[in-house]
Amino acid sequence: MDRISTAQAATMPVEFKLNGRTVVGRSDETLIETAKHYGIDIPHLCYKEGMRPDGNCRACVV
Amino acid sequence: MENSGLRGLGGAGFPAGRKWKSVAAEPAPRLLAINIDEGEPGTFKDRWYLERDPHRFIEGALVAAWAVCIDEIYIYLRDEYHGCRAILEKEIAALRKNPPCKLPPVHLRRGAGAYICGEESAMIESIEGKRGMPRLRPPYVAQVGLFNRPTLEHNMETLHWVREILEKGADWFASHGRNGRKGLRSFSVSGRVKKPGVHLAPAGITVKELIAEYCGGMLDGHKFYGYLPGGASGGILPASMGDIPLDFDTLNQYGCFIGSAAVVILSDKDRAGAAARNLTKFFSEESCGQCTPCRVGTAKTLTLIGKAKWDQPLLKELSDAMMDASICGLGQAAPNPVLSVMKYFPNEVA
Repeated sequence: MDRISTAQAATMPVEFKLNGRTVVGRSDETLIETAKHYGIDIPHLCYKEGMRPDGNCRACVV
Repeated sequence: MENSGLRGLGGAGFPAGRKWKSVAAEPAPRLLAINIDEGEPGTFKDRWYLERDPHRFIEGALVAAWAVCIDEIYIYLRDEYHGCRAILEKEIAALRKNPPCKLPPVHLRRGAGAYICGEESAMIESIEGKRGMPRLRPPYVAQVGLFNRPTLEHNMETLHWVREILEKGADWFASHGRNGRKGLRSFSVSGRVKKPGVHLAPAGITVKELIAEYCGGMLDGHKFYGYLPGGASGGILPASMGDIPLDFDTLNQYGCFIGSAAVVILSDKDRAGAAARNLTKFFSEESCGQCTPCRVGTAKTLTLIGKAKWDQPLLKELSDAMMDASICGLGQAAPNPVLSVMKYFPNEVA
């Protein structure tokens, strides 16, 4: 099997079920971002795009 | 170490041998962090062993350092144990002067009074000079720990047993036990008994057996009413449930756990509700404040249980949120006293 680069591995598709529906995300993407692509807005308070995720409000726990 | 079945004795109960294997598999340099913060209310076994035989856990640490190829050792000591600090400083100096083997650098670090710094990742943050706020896991401490290095973290007593297990064999430790359970446990017993203190007993002993055989029975004029099987975090059970074997995994179906084996005995002169208020106040003060469910939840719980009649559905809903979403064990376990009282002492809070 051919070896893949770290950059390629970061973008490898990850398939999973979101609210019962099969969706595809990227391995360098967060659940919040993937869900947004599919029109699902996960409630959140401390998360801000572009800033380091701190994960302490716990509103987005799924 | 694996065959002995030795599990962590600080509260989380992770299999020791398995932890050694997982850290040994990580790249060097690897560190060993020894947790003597002993903050769980009612726990004093580590202090007991430190005051009487500090070399035993040090020996266990050196064996672990050899087996796992550890480069540096950090000991984190509860600051209220200043007598133990004097002992440790003296013995570590003696060890450096005359090491029995190749000795990695040993650093003794002082705690500063925070219960949360007994949580392994908060302890690591504290050693790094930062505020004791638990980390989000993964990555786990075995992979990314102290100063970003793979770290073997152990409660002091877990290392205390390494020497005897190696001398007498894995089967020796597992040969002890009662009521179908295996191993030994150092119970820190306090409360309304004639002989409180550290009692080394078979794992699986029941609280009634512990009181009768090791503690000299209840104090005169006190009737057994209830008990905390595992410190502040382990819940509260009534005397009618005093025949449950005390061990890992045996109490979980009742919403309780053994934790650090800190057993507090309540009598008919006590109220479980009052104990729950005391413990909830403790958790609300000790919460590091990082995450909303625990910071707000412990404070809100305290307000709700301050009333004579408890709003039980609301308390249950709040407890669920705390248990589901808190970052660390403090927030996850803080609802246990209140849930126990609602379930097992309904007459107190109806």
